[in-house]
Amino acid sequence: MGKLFRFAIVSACVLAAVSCTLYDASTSDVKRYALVYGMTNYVVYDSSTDYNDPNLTYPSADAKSMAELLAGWGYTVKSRWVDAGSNVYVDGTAVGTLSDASAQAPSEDVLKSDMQAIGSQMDSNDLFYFYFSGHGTYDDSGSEYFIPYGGIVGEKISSGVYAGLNYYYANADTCVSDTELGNYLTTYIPTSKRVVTLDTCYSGGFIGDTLEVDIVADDTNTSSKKTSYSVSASTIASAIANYAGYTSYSSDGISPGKALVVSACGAGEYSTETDGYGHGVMTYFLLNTLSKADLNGDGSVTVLEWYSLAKAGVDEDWNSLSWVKYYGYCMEPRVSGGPVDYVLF
Amino acid sequence: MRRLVLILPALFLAGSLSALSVGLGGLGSAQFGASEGFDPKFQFGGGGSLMVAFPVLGWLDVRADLDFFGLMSSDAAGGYLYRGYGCSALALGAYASVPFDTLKGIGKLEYGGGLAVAGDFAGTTYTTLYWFYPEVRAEGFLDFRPDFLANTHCILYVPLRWQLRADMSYCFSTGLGLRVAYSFGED
Repeated sequence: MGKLFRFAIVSACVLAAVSCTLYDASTSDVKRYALVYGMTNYVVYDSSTDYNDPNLTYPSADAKSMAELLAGWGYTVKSRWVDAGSNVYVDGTAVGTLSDASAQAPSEDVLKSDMQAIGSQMDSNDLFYFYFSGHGTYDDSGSEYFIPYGGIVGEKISSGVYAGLNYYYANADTCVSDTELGNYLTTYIPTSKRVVTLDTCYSGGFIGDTLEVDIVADDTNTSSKKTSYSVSASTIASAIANYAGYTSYSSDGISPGKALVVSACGAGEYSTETDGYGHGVMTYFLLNTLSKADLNGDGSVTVLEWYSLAKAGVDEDWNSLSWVKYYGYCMEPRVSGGPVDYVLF
Repeated sequence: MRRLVLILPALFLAGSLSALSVGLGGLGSAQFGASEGFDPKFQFGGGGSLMVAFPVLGWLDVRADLDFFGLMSSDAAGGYLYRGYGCSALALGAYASVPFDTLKGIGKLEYGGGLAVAGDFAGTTYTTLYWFYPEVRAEGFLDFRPDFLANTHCILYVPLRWQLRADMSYCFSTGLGLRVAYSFGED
């Protein structure tokens, strides 16, 4: 008995010593970089001749507020947005309009060059955060896109993808698909700590989990939206099937190994903006819940903590409005799976 | 012949059932694991379990456990952490024990160990995401049968568990648990 007791004590001491050694690493070595885009006006809109305005109202406010928030927390931020007056802003400064400064608007080509420039300053220990607010769409093959500047054309085109924008159509070649964004991230950003937040319609399609089963369906934006979800036998069966067929590569979305994605809504849902919040719905709750988001009280806010509090806000506030339910504008923010989480703040 | 195939296991089962043990326990555990591209870290947690054991031989039991446990997220050193999760697990294993000592007027001691396999169904903290992994378990235990509580076992156990998680390069856990069991049909 004595030997057994001594063995237990020695084992506990060894475990504690190893633990202390491993915890010696610090978060202070992690430099944080952010790229923030917002697209309010996609086209210079002429109300006298065009009754099918594809432009939004609040993505520029979303991007401005998000860029300021991140900069305030020590991020090195690169930002671009286009406002409701078609003015192009770079790092918070107006540089012209879409008529004369479109080359500096947040297009797909600019996205790649911005990522390349940021990536050249980073090392493998750093964190990269990408935020986009604007339109999102999908195509018949199941790919989802976010629509940067240049992604919307003013007339129907045969090769375009439907954007749900009256007579405006999105051009797949100048939109950014889930697969393309995943490839840009791995090509240009030399760290595995990559986080993407998309406040766009259908953005849940950017999540490419291959192991986890989300018990919230892709499309909950109906008047009969469930307010609670539960695990069923089919959830367990799906989880076992995912384990049996597991691959770290996702053919439909960005796998957790490439980036953690926080989306405003599911792959079959709309993401909405509203005058009441002055922002996109999810962005409003991200901006306003951060101060309370250290849920476990460890002094830092992680992706999951921030996401879960914003999701709770969307659920309890926006999704509880009767007209939101009636017209099918309910939305459920989603997050990637994977074993790790990253400290954002 | 076909009847014999059915009757023999039924008789064995009936005999086993008359001497089965049921119990419940609690476990504090430490998990150590790493995912590709990240250094290993510890996660700590605990949980409870329900068990039922059938004697196969005098020294060998077949045991089923239903566990419920939770793990906190790891520390955030390096700007990352391993996610916390809650889990339910169903395990089936074989456990052997041998007499160790008799404490006069107090009770009897046995020690033993066993091997088991388990299926774990986990849900990530703060999310609606669920996932599965199998697990290989080994366990060493010390079984105290007090004289003043008939048919009762107080079992101190140390599990070693290898989580075969698809999303981790490796993942092991150990801990210290206490289980109280009651054996039917024991004298």
